Formats: sequence, C-alpha cells, structure tokens
Amino acid sequence: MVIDQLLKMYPSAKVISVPNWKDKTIVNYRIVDQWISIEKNELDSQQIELLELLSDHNEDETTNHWWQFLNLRSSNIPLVSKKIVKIKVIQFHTTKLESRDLAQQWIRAFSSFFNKVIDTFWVTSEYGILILSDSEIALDNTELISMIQLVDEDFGTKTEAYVGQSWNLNEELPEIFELEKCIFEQNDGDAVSNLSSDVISFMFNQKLASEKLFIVLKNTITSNSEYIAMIRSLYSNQNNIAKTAKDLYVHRNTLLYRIDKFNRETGLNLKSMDDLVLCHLLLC
Amino acid sequence: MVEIDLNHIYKKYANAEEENSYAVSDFDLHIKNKEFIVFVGPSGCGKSTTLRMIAGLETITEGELKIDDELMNDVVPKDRNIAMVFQNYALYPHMSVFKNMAFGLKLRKYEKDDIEKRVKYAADILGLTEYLDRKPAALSGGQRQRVALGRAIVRDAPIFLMDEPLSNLDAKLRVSMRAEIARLHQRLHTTTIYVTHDQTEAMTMADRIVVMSMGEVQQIGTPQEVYVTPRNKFVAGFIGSPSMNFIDVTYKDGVITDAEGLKIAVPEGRAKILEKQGYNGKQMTLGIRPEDIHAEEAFSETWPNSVVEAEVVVSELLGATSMLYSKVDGTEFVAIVDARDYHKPGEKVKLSFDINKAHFFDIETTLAIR
Repeated sequence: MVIDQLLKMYPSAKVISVPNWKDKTIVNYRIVDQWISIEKNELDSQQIELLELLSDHNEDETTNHWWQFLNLRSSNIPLVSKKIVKIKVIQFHTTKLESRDLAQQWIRAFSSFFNKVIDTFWVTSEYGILILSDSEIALDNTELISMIQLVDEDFGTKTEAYVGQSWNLNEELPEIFELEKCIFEQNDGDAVSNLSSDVISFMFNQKLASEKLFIVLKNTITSNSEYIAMIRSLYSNQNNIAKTAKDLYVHRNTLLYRIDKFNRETGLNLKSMDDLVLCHLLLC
Repeated sequence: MVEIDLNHIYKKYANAEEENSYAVSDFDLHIKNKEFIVFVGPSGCGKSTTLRMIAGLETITEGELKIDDELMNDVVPKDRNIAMVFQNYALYPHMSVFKNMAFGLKLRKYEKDDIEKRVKYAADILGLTEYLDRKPAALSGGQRQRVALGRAIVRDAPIFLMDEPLSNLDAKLRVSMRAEIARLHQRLHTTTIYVTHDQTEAMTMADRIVVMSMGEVQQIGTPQEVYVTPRNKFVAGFIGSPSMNFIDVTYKDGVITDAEGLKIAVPEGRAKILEKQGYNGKQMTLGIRPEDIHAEEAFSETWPNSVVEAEVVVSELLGATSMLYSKVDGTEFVAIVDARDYHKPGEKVKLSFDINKAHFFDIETTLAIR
C-alpha cells in the first residue's frame, strides 16, 4: 500500500528488482520488502529524509561496509587483499546477549575457530555475519556443531549458523546472498545448515508444499511414526538397508518387511531413490 | 543435593504435523541425588532430545521438568546450573588448556583465585596438570576429551549431562575413558545423566538404565534388572551382547516347538506360569541369551529334554569362550560356550537350552510373560 501511494505521488517512481547504485540521478529505497527507485530531482531534502525513515532498515542494523554491499545499500565492493578472489559468508543467529561487551566477546570466541576471517560483525543484537576468505579450510558440519555447542555453553546462548558457499567477490554477490539469507531464515532449528542441506526443502516449501496433492501424500506417510523414522534413516544412510537396520535397531528382514508394507499402503517404494527423495521432501 | 523430576514429558517438533507424532512421549522419571542415570537406545529413540530438554536446549512441549522441586521448563540454559559434555567436543584453538577450562568461569565473573583453584583441582583429577599451558592442537584425542570433562568439572555444577561423550574415541580409549568417567562420578558424586547408544557403556556405568525406543521409555531399572528381567522383547534384544536369540514357538502341554523342527521341554514351574496366563496352545516368542545355551555334557545329562542337535554354521574362538553360530534345521541361534567346547563349522553339536533362564514374550504385544 505504501508502495502504491509512492508510485502515485512520484511519476518517476518504479518498483525494481535490483537497485542501480551507480546511477547518481536516482535514489533507491527498500520499502515493505520491495525496492523502489525515484528520480532525485523530484525530491527535496525533507522528502528524502522522510523516505529514509519509511524504508526498511532496522535501527540496530549495522553500517558495516560488507553489510551495506551485501544488501545492495552500497555498490562499493569492500576492499580486500588482491589475493582474495572468492569469499564465503557465515550467517549466525543467537540469543540476545546481556551487554555489548559480552556480544563482542561472543563474536571473538566464535570467530577464533576460523583462520581466514576477513571481517566479522553484528547486524542486529541477535544476527551476525562472518566473512571468510575462500582459502579457509572447509570445516564439516560436525566440527561446526561442536564449536557452536562450546560457545553456547560458555555464553548461555542458543545459536544457529548458515555456512554459505564460496562465491566470487563481484557485483553478483548481493543477489546470491539474498537467497542465502532466505534459505537461512527458513532453518527449522538445525545448529548448522548450508546450501546442500537446505536448498531442496527450501525450494519444495517455496513452490509445492502447500499443494493439496502433497498435503494428502504427507498425511499418508506420516500416519505411522515408524514410517517417519524409517524414511529419515534410509535417506541419511543413502538407502543402505544394512546401515538403516542397524540405526533403527531392527533386523534387516524387519526393515524390508516395513518397506514392503509402506509400499502396499502408499504405493511408494522406498528402495527406489526417487520415491525415497519424495518422501524425504514431504517430511521437510 | 539435587534431585531431578521429569513428569510426563512430551516433545513434539514444530514441523511434525501429525497429532501423535512425538519425538518423546510420556517420559516419567525421578532421578535421585548423586545417581548415575544412563539413557540408552538406538539412534532416533529420543534420548538426546530428552537430555537437551533437561539442559534447556530444546523446549518441552508438555509435562514438567523440576530440579529440586523448582519448575525449570522456562528457565534459560545458563540459569539451570547444569554442565554438559558433548559427543563432538571443540576447544578454543588459540587458548591454552588452562584458559579453555577457565573461560566459562571468567564469563560468569568468578574471582581470579577461585578460577585458578578450580582449574588446578580439575586438572589434578584428570591428570592434565602438566598440559595446562599447551594449546589443543598439541593434545591427543583422549587429552582433549579430558579437557572437555575438565570444563564441566570446574563449573562445580550439581548436574552433569553427557551426550555420547565417548563415541568419537577409538575402542581402546573408549574403554579407559569409560572407567575414568565412572571413577570421576565416584569421586565427585555429581548427579549425572549420560546418553549412549552403546549398551556396554550403559551396563558398566549406570546406577539405573532408561531404555528408550521410538520416543518411549521401554524400561527403567538397574543394569541387573534390565538384563535379567527385561520388560519386553525390545529391551531383551537391545541389552546384552551378543543379543538374545529370539525364536517364534508354540507352547503346548509342557513343550515348545517351532515350525523348523525345534522341540524343547519347559520345566514345570515355567510351564505353570505359561498355562496360567492362557498361553497353552498359543504362539509366543522364546528369548534365550547366548550364555544360557550350553554345550557341557553335565548340563545335557541333567536336562535331557532341553537338548537339541545343532549344526555349527560359524564359530569364533575368543580365548576363554567360543561363539557358536548354529542352526537346528531352519532355526538359527548363537551360543557362548567354553573354549574347550569349540566346534568347527559344519560339525554337529549337542546344545542344551536352559529354559529356566529363558524368556517368553507375547507375540502381539512383545511384553514378557511372567
């Protein structure tokens, strides 16, 4: 509604998907999750101030140059060593800390696990960013979970982190980061997530999860809690029957019997990877 | 002095849409002061979720968690005065062992002298005194795990929660750390809840074991109780290594038979119970532990009606004992016998089933028939 009014008020106003910061004749504002550009000559200084107030930026939000760049508030790529071609962004969300000093200690403790930290900062009192050089040794999820557990134990926090992919440091990065942010926002409580772990369920939930067909199918496969455990275990064991049977502490033949029973009841054959992936998605 | 009450605790995750889809259901347990409780079960059984609810890392959907009669459901983790040791233990790489152990205390604004006293005490207990200046990279896996334990000890918290703390260690180190944790408990008397999927750890360390499966408590009891009198087929099969043998049989007038030709007499006392419970002529599951199948002649002479002639399929000589994976027609089972009774695969052997020590389970409910 605000956007509609602005479009009416300013003839040059346009809703855009990506702001063009290089064009100095226009101003860009993010309002109610949409970008709008207006020609500068249509605005006086008071109107500019008013639009600043209307635009979506949390008052706690940082003025850090990385954050400004990643969120299209500035077109300037932050200066880094020429050796750094690619970076990865770790986003984290944690419990609000009691004081600014404690928050600074928290972020220092968390970043001490990484060797190639380019920058680290709080965006809000609960959300922060770690910018790593691509040459940082890749840590697996288990290691990251244990680091988070350690920091959480010491600071009494509960943290979730999203480990971004390595991306070229260029003007395409903000758009990529926008999606990484969206994926992280949909994290349902995993201490550590990344593109591989979350993208399929993210896409599924964005596009298909609300379709009647999938709702009915989901209800069918979740009618028995035994089935839920079986699907999750089969998926995490890449459909290996022996490992899944061991995991679930059932005999291999019992597991095969349950897979057949599931097949009879749902028409889905969990021995087929396609059907198993579909069932896994329905449980996401 | 600390007691923990878990009163009918339920956990349901936000994404679990089905009404009865609980990760933990009706968990009810009173933990006494200084007790060493082990939650054991296969992966996904809800044991870690329950532990995390006690720590405050997961919310409780229904039920009450009380520590010393104080309701803790909504108390934040840092105010619960609980120390945790995790399966995957990280340490701050740039801090020395001393600083790693002291860091949590420093954040909680303990006095410098007090911190030093606590760290030195923990280091002394764990044999880490000479490593206090080292960085984690210069420690072995076992030493790093000790530092993780040290971080819990310095807190002097009245409750320790341990989530599979030995799972990442190699087999030999696991055995020695197991003994070390048991010694630590004897020395500190801290009320401890320990989560593991390893029934040997549960049996060797626990005052009481909570056996879990599919989010539900299957049995709570001392190691002896869960081993000797399992409440159901799941507990019977999960506790004990190698697992209990299960054979579907039919009981009729003092004799059990199976479809593959197995025929064994049931002693009078056991037969009376089965008949009293209405199982005469009915199918049930016979459960017998490998050590309750004997190859000694003396046993088969005393109980001639419990002898079967089996064929050894696989045999393993383990030094003092032998494991004989055997079969009678189509019925397969494993027996642990004296090393002197070792038989090669393919050989025939007379084995006696000690039915007095056997268990019977209802075929439908899987509950023990007593």
